[in-house]
Amino acid sequence: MHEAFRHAFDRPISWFFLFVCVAIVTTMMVPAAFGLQHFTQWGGMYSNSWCRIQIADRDPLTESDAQVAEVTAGFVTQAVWSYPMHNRSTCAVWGRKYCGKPSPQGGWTVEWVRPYFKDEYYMDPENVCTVPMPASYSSWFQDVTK
Amino acid sequence: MSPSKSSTEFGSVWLRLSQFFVALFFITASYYKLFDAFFFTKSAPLKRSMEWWIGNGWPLVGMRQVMQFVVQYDWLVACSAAFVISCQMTGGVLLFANIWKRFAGYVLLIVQLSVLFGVFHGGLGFQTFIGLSIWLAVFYILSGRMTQRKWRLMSYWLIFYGFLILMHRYRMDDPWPSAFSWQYKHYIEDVMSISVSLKQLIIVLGKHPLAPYFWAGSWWLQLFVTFMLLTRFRIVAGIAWMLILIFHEWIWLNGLTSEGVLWILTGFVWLSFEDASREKWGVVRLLPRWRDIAAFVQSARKWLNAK
Repeated sequence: MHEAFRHAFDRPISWFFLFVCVAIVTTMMVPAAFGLQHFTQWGGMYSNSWCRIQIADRDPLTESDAQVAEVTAGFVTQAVWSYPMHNRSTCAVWGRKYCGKPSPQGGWTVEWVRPYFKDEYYMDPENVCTVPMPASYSSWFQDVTK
Repeated sequence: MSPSKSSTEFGSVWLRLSQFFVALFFITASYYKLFDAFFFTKSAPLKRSMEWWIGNGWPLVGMRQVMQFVVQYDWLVACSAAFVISCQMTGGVLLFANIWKRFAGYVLLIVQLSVLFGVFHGGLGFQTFIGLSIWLAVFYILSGRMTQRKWRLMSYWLIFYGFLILMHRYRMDDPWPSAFSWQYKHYIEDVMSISVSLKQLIIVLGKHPLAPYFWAGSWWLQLFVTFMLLTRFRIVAGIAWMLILIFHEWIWLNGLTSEGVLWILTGFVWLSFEDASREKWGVVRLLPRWRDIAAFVQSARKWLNAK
């Protein structure tokens, strides 16, 4: 076994393979342990981390006549690769970019956002638009002016 | 068969490590389906997926009838989900333990083929993604008794997928700088990279006037590298190919997710086997020699003249 490992590093390509192994572990297998973004990259399905948000002009939980619409992340525009997957943090931050903007249907302004992920509105009863978030989060997903 | 033509064992630590990663990938895939997608959380139940696939006309003709029958009964859908989960778990565990590799390959082949038949018309992205898992299954079926001929065919097969995914990307307008604006916009608005800092760097670089040309140029670079995989420089080309795949995954993380990772794992398996096989076989030729082509042309001319 020792001989096999010694043999593993006797050629330059071995250092590339070592880099691949480190990259796989740190950025694909357990990226969260290294402070990196973690989605479904390690064996997840293409569909089990879709992020959906409910947008409204006021609290839809208490105001029954609130204007409400739903938006699924990535489905708004053409996707370059697959429709983007999310985790709970990115779903909330992605939804926040709608705050204070006109609704896609027009006619009202988005004042309330409820992120929906893995079959639950996981931030209820909080409003993503008013919940405190570090200022740096605003750079995660920016709204590009059309 | 002489030892130089075939091998029962390729002693490479890297080949074993790539197998270890593939095994963990399939184990996690089944774990996700059990606890997250199909059963416990049910965030993406199989019935919903099957109905989506049928509704979009994705299954092969025979498979469509089977799926239409299955979705009528919840217990049959549950059995199908359990079948997928148990097959992926069994294959992954056996590969992890490095025992019964052939059996593991057959188990994975059966389940991944059934997935392929279910999403057959789902587009080139799906076909290559599922195709890679089938390639891996066949690799582990053959790996214990790999010959130069089989390895040549396996290499053709994987490089074919390399071109197929480029064709898929061609349809997404990747080769043209004109696609830059909408792709860059989508990247800024919806996509996350492996770290926010990397995303910021890409956004800044994207503001350079030449950015659309470099952006589109990556497709042409990948095309060149994929061609080079056919030559005797394929180890160097393989390294470049894998670096492109890794950067794609890092940059387009939540858009590529496990599809991008499977490309990297398959590339790792292929490259580590190619490297290990060099000691026994040398360079396995994938393209015909010039003199073979010349001889073929000459004999074809003779045949035509005789006619």
